[in-house]
Amino acid sequence: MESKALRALTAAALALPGLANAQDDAAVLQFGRYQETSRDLFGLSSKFAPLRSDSLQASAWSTFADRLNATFNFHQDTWSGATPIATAPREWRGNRSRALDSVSGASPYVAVTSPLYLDKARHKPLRTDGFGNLTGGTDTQLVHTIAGASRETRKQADVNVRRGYDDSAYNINGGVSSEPDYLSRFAGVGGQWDFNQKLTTLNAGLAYTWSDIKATLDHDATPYIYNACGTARCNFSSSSSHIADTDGGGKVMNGTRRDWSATAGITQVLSPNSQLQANLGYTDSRGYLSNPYKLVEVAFIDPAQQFLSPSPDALFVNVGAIFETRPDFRKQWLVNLRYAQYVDATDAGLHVNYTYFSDDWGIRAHTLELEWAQPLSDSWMFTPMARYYTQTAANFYTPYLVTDQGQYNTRTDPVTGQPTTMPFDLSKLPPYYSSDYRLSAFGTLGGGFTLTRQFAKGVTASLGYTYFRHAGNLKWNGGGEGAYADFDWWLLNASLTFDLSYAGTLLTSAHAVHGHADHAVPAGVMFAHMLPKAGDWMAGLRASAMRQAGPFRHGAQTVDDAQLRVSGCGSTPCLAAPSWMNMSMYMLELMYAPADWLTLMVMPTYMNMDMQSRGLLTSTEQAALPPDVQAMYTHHTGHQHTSGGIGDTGLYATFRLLDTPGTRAHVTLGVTAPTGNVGLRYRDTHQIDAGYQHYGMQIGSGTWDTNPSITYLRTAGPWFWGAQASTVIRMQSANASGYALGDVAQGTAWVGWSSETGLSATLRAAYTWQGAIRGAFDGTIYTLSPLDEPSNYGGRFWDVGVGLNYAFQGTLAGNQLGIEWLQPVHDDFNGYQLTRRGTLTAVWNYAF
Amino acid sequence: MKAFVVILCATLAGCASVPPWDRGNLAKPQMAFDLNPSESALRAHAYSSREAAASGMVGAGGGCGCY
Repeated sequence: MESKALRALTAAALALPGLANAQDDAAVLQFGRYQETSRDLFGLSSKFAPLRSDSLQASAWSTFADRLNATFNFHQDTWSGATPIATAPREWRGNRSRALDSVSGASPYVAVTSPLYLDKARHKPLRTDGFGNLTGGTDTQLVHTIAGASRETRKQADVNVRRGYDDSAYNINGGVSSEPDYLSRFAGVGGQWDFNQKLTTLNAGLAYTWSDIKATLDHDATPYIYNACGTARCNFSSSSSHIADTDGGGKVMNGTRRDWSATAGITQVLSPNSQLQANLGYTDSRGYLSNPYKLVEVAFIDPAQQFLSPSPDALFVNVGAIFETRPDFRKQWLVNLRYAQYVDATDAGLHVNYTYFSDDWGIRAHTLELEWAQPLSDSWMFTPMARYYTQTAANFYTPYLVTDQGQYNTRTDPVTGQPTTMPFDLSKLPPYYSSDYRLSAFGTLGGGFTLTRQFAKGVTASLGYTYFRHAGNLKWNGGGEGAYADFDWWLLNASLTFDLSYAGTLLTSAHAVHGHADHAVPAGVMFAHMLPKAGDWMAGLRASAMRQAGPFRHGAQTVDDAQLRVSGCGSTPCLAAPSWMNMSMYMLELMYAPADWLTLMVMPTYMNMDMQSRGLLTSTEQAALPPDVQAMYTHHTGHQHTSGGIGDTGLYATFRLLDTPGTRAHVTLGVTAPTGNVGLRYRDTHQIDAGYQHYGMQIGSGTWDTNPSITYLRTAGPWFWGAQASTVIRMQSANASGYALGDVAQGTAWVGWSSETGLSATLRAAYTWQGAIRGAFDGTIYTLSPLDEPSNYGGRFWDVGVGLNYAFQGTLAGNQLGIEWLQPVHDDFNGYQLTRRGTLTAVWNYAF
Repeated sequence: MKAFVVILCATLAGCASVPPWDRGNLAKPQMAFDLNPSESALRAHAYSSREAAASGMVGAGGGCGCY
């Protein structure tokens, strides 16, 4: 969920020097992990793991024509974990044990049903024993009410095109960021102008972002929020958003926002050893700027209920939760100064960066960052950094609200003249309120390092780590939020940068000129490359997306919903079925040949799954379900489900069997290590343990697998053909969650034709056999849909693939792109499964 | 903006007289304002998901681990 207006600034930032200035064609692959520590819940431990976010990024710079270049960027984040949903006095017991399962930690309660009291004079919470009996004194300790964020994935793709001239450059950029609940589109233009023999550079940029928010509101929270006054209107009103009902009985917050931003800056060479950059930024945001997942707790002091107070000094209160409400507009200003000083003594670069931020929400922030870039040799660079950040609170920030009115009041209806129950009067609350800790007063202090190693052959590896403390008492000048909101976080990142023109510049390099076109293989075939000679490297990125959708099949036959309901879920009837499911895989391929006859490979993967389910029951049948199953039914059919993260990691060795002119053969042996998670569960919903996500949503196999294969390749003139047999054998009978995926065997053969230009086309056929899942989840799983039943996996499949490959020539020689569409032609499923729609695979390889 | 340059150069002596052949140190990778663009984009992304202010002028777009 996007929280900042600053995406627009980002687009404008692409106009800055440094970013758009890459001279050489290059590609960057980066992985990042963000991890938080848990909040202090004062004696309770949250059942939700602290928030974690994994990021993947792939970028490429490419020159198309003289002075015309483009940057392509793809970025993906997947996150889940604990997040504060509201803040309340500890006495309100917002994090309490789940009623159905008192041993397991805390679940969020945003409405309080037990009696609570405030001190009459100062409205401070009075200490009780938890059963409505005063035990003496006040307890002013605040605590976050923690909820679990469901797993979500954000994907962003953007492009920046830049045209350079002698003393200036202009750029235009645009992109899309997509999450299940947030769609953003952005576009921008920028320019830079050199003066004064390039001692001075001016830059300016303008960007526009427009976003749509569709946030599914928390199942556990909506009844309280919605019923706080009988209707969503009374505690939520905005011209930029509204709450709608979904078919599954859920609630969705719909909103829109627009952000304009402008930047201007100057870069000045001060001396042979120093330079300064100054930037100004302004962003104007309008629309729905609140966070739909954040609530504010309200203590209602109902004059009519004070007879329930146990003491003349105590006020009896009801507690309800309402949506946070921020202004529908925000203006943000930014001044950023960057100073770089060359330090002759150690050949280092000292960087001092300072940023002042101000907005019309009352937030003032200062950031000071120091970096010391120290080359350790020709190839190593070590960069320690430290950063301090401090901010004041937004003027509408409040941990919770107190109001002198009942949550429901009896008034005389002006139309009928009859007494009627009315919800509380919203106008008696402040116009804006939020308890989001990010709008409170706090400071952040921390630091880290970056270690960069430049390898031969144009490859640079980088590893970075930072650790930060986020704390109220780190606010400059004091007055920060209480320690209950403190936490630490760290960020780890690792990247590989490839100079794509490196191989092409080595005109003597035999294989770069030779190319791989004569051994092109369809993009969907793995383990078909062997490096030509000892000392060669290859790096690549493989992305594939598989889709299942449409009618269900049993074996090779289409089945209707009636049959599916009766037999699709094993011994119990099916209540739901997936409408579609997508699985994406990103694989980094690193290959090295220690000998002419041997190629070693490491292949880490990143997986992404999303799906949508539909209900098979009528509303009458649905109403007759037991409460927990009904809750799961609503949850499953209400909205899209996502999973994603680091998948299994492959380690392989390929041995050359045969290498004669026109004929090659090799065998690959290897294992995949179970680095992918197989314990993914649904977020608890309606206060119940929702159990495991189904097998297809788990990220890895969970078992050590071996994957032997044998590949045979022939070429004759422009024609080439090949064949491969491969298997996946699970070397353990069950993974940590109690099951093992079925073994796989595949045979495939292809024929292709390549032209002089480096372009080639392939046609192939593949037969795949996969066994059903052995064993089953050893914990809670609600068998609602065919995907929850282990026998509904695997089968026998025929596919036909068409592909295109392109081997670059000239300065980009050594680079190869491939794409293949694999079309299912015959399915024979084990059990009941969703029709396979096809697989698209794209591959980029770079040999150096 | 031009006035700003003039003031800047008046207060920091010598900034108008650095010939191109004297800018070797400034061209070194350790002197780039953005030492590692991909990394700073990721870091800016983390800062902006946990802080109310924009942390700088770089970034790889919005979104975050910010439920």
